Amino acid sequence: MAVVRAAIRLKSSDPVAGTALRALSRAMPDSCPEALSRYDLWEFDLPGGREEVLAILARFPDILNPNKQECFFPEEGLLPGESPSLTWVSVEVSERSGSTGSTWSQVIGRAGFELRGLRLLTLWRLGYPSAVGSARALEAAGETAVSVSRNRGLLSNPVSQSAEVSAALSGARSL
Amino acid sequence: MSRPGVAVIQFPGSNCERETARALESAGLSATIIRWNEGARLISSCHACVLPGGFSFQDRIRAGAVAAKEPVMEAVAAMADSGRPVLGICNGAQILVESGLVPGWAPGSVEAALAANDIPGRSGYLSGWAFVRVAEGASRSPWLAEAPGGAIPLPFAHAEGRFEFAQGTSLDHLISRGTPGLLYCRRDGSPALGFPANPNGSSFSLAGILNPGGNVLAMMPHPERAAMLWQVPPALGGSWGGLRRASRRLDVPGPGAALFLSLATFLGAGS
Repeated sequence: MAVVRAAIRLKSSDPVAGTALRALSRAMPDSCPEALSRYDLWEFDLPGGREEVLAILARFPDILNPNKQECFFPEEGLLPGESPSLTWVSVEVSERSGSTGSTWSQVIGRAGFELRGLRLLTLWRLGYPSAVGSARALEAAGETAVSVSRNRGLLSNPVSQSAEVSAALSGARSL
Repeated sequence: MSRPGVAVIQFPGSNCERETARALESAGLSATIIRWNEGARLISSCHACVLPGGFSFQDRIRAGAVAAKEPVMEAVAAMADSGRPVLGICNGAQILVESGLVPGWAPGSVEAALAANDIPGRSGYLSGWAFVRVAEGASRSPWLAEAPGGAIPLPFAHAEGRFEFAQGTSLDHLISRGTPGLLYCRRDGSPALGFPANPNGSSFSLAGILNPGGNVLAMMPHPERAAMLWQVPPALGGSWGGLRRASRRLDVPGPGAALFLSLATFLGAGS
């Protein structure tokens, strides 16, 4: 089994991330990061590994439009463009029902790719000033991750989505 | 006598505020479109408020999530807490859910979701007409008190309209808290048993939910798009379609008008 994760983002600045940052700065200033970016995170489970993922991405511009998007395979270290002076935390948001992933599985399968599983997530990367400390950065990101009330949390709905907070995912190799 | 005032709150990306205001005016109410950043005092002076449909903040992050964090929602919450009627239509319903104003079991907590449509074999945005009926006990709501007992045809248009609650939440739990407001049904009023009568896979066929007090209603179908008979498609089945085909006058109330007329009666306005 080979699970390959491809993180896709806009080449230009992401208006969704900008809106999220603005909303957090107003609603939760104590937990708001200094920088925020967003990726579509596609998690492919397929025998062909990264080469087959590249073929899928080349076949479906609805997943990766090379004119306006770029793709990374997250590994160790910082993601491209992330300032090393910040402490970065990942928040991965997924739909509990996974209906979007199953629809894409069918579409990709019909194109002849052997796909055992597919999950579509949203990856948020939150950058906090180093002075905050990694423990507090993790805690603050956790506070933004789940919308528990009108004034607390934003990035996921507690009923229909799940959110995973980690400092582990970082780094990437550019496509 | 001055007509009771109803605030229609316009967020960036709202697109149903004018027809919502028109439907309220047709019911004998005074509707004022208030932009989300115009100040809470304007809203507080109104007798009720409506959050109309659209795509507030372009549905960024997820539908309704950003608008729910805006300061204007504190004024809406205060209005709801004081027992005044609040209605969210489609994107407005998504905002109310993300604000924790419905179902309102633990006030202020987000306890539900309007999740992506989940229909076997298809996903994404879907629009059309559906039939709804008032849930048992829901006529306590100022929005539903005068709605007819049978099937009411209303248009819907959304990609994220599936009411969802925490895993294990039973229908009995919802009923005991007075949550069901509107239910998808078939043309004859019998329960919807799946698509297409339930157009989005909503839990328990819910088309609209209430807070425990019944004064806050979040609903996915658009009553303002069926407020006049001319808005009903002639080809629509059921009694309203028949009325539309037979009627020589079309500028009379349509099936969606019942909600606005209910509010007008509750607020003591004559149409």
